[in-house]
Amino acid sequence: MKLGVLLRRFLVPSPVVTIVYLIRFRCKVSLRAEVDLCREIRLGRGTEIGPFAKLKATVGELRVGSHVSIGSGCFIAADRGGVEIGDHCMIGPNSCIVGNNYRYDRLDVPTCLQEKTSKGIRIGDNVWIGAGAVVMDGARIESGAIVAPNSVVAGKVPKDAIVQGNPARVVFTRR
Amino acid sequence: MDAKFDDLVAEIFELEEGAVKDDLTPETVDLWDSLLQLRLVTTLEEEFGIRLSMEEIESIQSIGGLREIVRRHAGSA
Repeated sequence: MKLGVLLRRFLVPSPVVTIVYLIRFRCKVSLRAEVDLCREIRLGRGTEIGPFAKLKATVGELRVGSHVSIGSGCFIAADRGGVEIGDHCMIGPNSCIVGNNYRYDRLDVPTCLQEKTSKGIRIGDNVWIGAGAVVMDGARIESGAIVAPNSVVAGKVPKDAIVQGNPARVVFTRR
Repeated sequence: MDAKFDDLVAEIFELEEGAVKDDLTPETVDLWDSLLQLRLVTTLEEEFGIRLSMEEIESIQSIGGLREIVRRHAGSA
């Protein structure tokens, strides 16, 4: 991890982070949220980050559109492939959006020591992700989709689809 | 059509054979929630080759009401 990111993560008090993001992007970061202070994170105007949410980006870009609501306790981490979230999305409390994975093809090496992979995550506009949902690396959620609470999305979610379950499957298409 | 309809409702709501009655409502069926209702509608649309409007979907109050809507669409298809 970059030393600068590490120092900022542990030494910069949260009111400073909140003020920096307010001035830089006109968005509201809760004083109790944990958002990396780095160039890789770009938040849109009017976006709100709830308490205890954690946004991390060290090597890839984490780009959040405008007027996005990120609920309390969410964990969003971008890696090399990046994470993109469109405009007017709602991310329910305690959702996880993690833009990386570990290889696990060597039995003689602990998984945590094997190579990390990152295809990235793309989430379109006006997507509603229910509480506790997990969006895994490589997921593509098209605009207008709804992810039911506690669902696990690893693949593609078509436009305007409502998906549910693990793995998330289309139960309905909005009309 | 009725037998197929009953089978699909029983499968989605995990009801026993013969338990599907027109007076079943979201209050009397344990598993009946908004998402499962949408899944049922999608399944019925695929099986009968029909398409319901959002107003019709929102108006569903009982199995009997849903059966009437499906019958109307299937009849005109």
